[in-house]
Amino acid sequence: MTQSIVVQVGQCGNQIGFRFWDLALREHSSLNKTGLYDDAVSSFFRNVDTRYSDPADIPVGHGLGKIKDLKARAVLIDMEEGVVNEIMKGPLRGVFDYKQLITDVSGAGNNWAIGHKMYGAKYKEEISETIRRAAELCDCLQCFFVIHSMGGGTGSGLGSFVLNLLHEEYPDIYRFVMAVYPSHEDDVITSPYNSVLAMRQLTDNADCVLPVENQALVDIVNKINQANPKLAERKSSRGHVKAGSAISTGDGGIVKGKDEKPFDSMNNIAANVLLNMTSSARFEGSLNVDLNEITMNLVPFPKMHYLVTSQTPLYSVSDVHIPPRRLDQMFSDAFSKDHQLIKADPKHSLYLACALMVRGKVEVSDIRRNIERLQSSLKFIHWNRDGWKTGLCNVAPVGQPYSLLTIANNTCVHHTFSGLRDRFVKLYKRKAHIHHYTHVDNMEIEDFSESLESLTSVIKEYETLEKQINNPAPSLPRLQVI
Amino acid sequence: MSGVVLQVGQCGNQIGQHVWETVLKNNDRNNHVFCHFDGKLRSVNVDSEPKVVRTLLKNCKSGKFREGNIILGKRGKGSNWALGYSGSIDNSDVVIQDTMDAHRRETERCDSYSGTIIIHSLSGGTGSGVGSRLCELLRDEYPLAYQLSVCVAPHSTGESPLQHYNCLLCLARLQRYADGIIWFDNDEVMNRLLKATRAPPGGFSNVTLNAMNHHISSALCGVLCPIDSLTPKTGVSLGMEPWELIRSVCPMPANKFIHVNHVSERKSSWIDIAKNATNFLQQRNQDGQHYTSLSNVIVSRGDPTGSFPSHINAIEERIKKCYNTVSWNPYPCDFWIGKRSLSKTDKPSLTIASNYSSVIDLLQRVVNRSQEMYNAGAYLHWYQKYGCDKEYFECAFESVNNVIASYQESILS
Repeated sequence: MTQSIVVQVGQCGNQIGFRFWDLALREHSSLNKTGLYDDAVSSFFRNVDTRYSDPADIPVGHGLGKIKDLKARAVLIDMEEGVVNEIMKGPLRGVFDYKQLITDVSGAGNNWAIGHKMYGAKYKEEISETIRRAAELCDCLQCFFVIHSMGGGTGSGLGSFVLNLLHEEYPDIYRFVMAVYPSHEDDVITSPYNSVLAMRQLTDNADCVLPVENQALVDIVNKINQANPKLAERKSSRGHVKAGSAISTGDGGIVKGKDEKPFDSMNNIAANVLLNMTSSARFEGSLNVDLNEITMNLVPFPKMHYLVTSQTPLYSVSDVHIPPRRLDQMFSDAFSKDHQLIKADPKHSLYLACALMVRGKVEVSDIRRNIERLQSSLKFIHWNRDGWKTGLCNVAPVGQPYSLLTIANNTCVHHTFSGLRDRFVKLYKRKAHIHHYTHVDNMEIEDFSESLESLTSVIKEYETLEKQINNPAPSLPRLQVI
Repeated sequence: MSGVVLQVGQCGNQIGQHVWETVLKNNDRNNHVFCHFDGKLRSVNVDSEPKVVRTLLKNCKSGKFREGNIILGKRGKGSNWALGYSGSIDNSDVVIQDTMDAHRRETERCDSYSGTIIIHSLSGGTGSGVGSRLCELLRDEYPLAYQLSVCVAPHSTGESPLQHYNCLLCLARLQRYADGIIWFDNDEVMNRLLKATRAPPGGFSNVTLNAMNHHISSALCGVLCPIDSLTPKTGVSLGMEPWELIRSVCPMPANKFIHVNHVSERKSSWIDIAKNATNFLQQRNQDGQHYTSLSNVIVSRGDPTGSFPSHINAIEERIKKCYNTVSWNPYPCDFWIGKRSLSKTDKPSLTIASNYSSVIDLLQRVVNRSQEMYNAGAYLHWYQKYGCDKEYFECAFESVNNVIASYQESILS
């Protein structure tokens, strides 16, 4: 079984990461009733014996050893201590090893150059050492998950630096990035600069990027709350929706009641995406999809690795007599623009490939039936008309009988990127705030123009492919008698 | 005694599990075909990630599998034929080497090794990549032994975007190195099972992957398990069934694809069972042309009263009509009779293995789709990364096109 390491950078990255670990523990504890340390748990957690001052690692062995104490395979990086200190004071402090934290005091001031160039140079050795230690404790490391935001300073700057480092030192290990993109009305003025400068690093160094937009998450949370207002106030829901089933809830986790923070429901959704994506690699199923299969199947050209995700169902209804139509509804919803994690409409754009990761009690014939049904309403590029990747994991997510995560390579991302580029150009034309960046050592004005070029080329590639949206398959040339 | 069964990848191991369950149910003196005298199965299980084989060991009597014959990788082959075929970049992958070693030990245990049966899928990374590599290596090691490949083609509406490339590259290798290729199509199996089950009120009929695997493995057992008509007078089977099948059904080296149709029903006359079998068969292609079959083997099992031989003529007529046997073959139907039934409840069954031209559709579709993707240059960087460059693709296109041409030629006359 393979292991993965999660690297969370910056305030946003650490908050999403914190929710991820809470939900991962919740999932494993609801499935692993016997408390045995098996392969599934070892993909994200280490089993340690804390009697020693340097906690000794206990390997999986024959999978029958009991769990003594779990430590997460995580590296927490932040240039200001607030968030990480809160995590270490909170209920999950036992899960993190103090040696896995890298913090500084003053923060990066929403400045990509400070994050990437200054702190990067300063902490390069330490970061490299910490990651190497975490990697050595893995039996067979398969991928890194890097979680960070694009608009801030630490997240975008130091996050993209870490990505660079991982590419250099571990070229064979896949790098999945969950990047939170700033929405149109973002409170950080320099966020377009930070995002575009970081985008170039993502295009060059990441294997797969899952962009997430705050606005989309807010809309999804509102949708869930509308369905059952009592859910928002956390009272017992005698209504329609089963308590603890929404993907935005942290019910059953360690963090309870009053400790919940306002962004938690949004972060839960993003954390659930990571859990569902790795579920097939961790648990058994009829059609396993490993993480390397996701990159290989969904990325037809090297630079076009930006994948749009959506999760359904948002919550499960407490009515016991669930008709089978609901399963079909789940598949249809997955392609509506309200369920995507970025503000984009994939139905009106061109699909290059699409992966359906199904969990729970769903059969192969259901999946095939729904693919045939949806095939006509979705536009796939002509050379990949059947570009579906299906994965079936038998283990259902917590609180729901089945769920579907769609990961799609769709050209609608170029709209998001174009918006980003326009905001960047508006500021760059006037060279506003540039001096904050160029003051930093090693930061040059060419970095800006090169990043803009890289972003433009990615947008152009997607646009060229989208132009083929109405192309039928070219007919093969007839064999000629010479 | 005669052969070794090699199961590669998730699909191969899942089907293998059901095959062994059926074989172990019929615990009789012919078990030595599948089991060594110490009770362990002549099976080698390979997969590049541990989960599926672990489930197999849990469900099947794990004492029957030899420890050394289970070879597991850790990381998976990512649905990439090139990664499966070449191993990892830094050659740290020992899966293929270990498999060849285990297979060699297994053949040394055989009294008279005749050949290997490889069960794998065409679209996965391990099944198609590692499977084709093993086929090639086995051909090098044992040039005179038979190789029967059992492959499963993916759903045409898409199981994975890379399936067309993987199928193409794997089929080209199989054509070159295998002696016979039994193929199953997921679409066909699923449609057949959907027709057979009735939908619950207000819902849709469901076909589980388990049911599909079970159907495929029953069809396989129908063809591979010991037959009385091939057993010498001593009453002890030589396990020659798979190789006899290849000899009967594959008349020309270019036409090796065997299609298997299996029906098992209780309390019907043999004529009715034959009718059922031919009803399930797809007889015409999209243009309305009748498919043709070059040669057929009909296996009947579960005939305690010995009534089958009297029906042979009628069944032969039916087969000749529905399978549209080719005119240049004077003996298109070969009949094998097995007294014991496959299932514990003694249900009679009829299995028809035929060299059927519906394989042209599958091959044509694979070539067309992969050609489109190849022309657009999609996903090629993943294959080039693991050493599979344009030459491999060009060769594969040529091979598969040749197979299509030779099938079209052979059905014309």
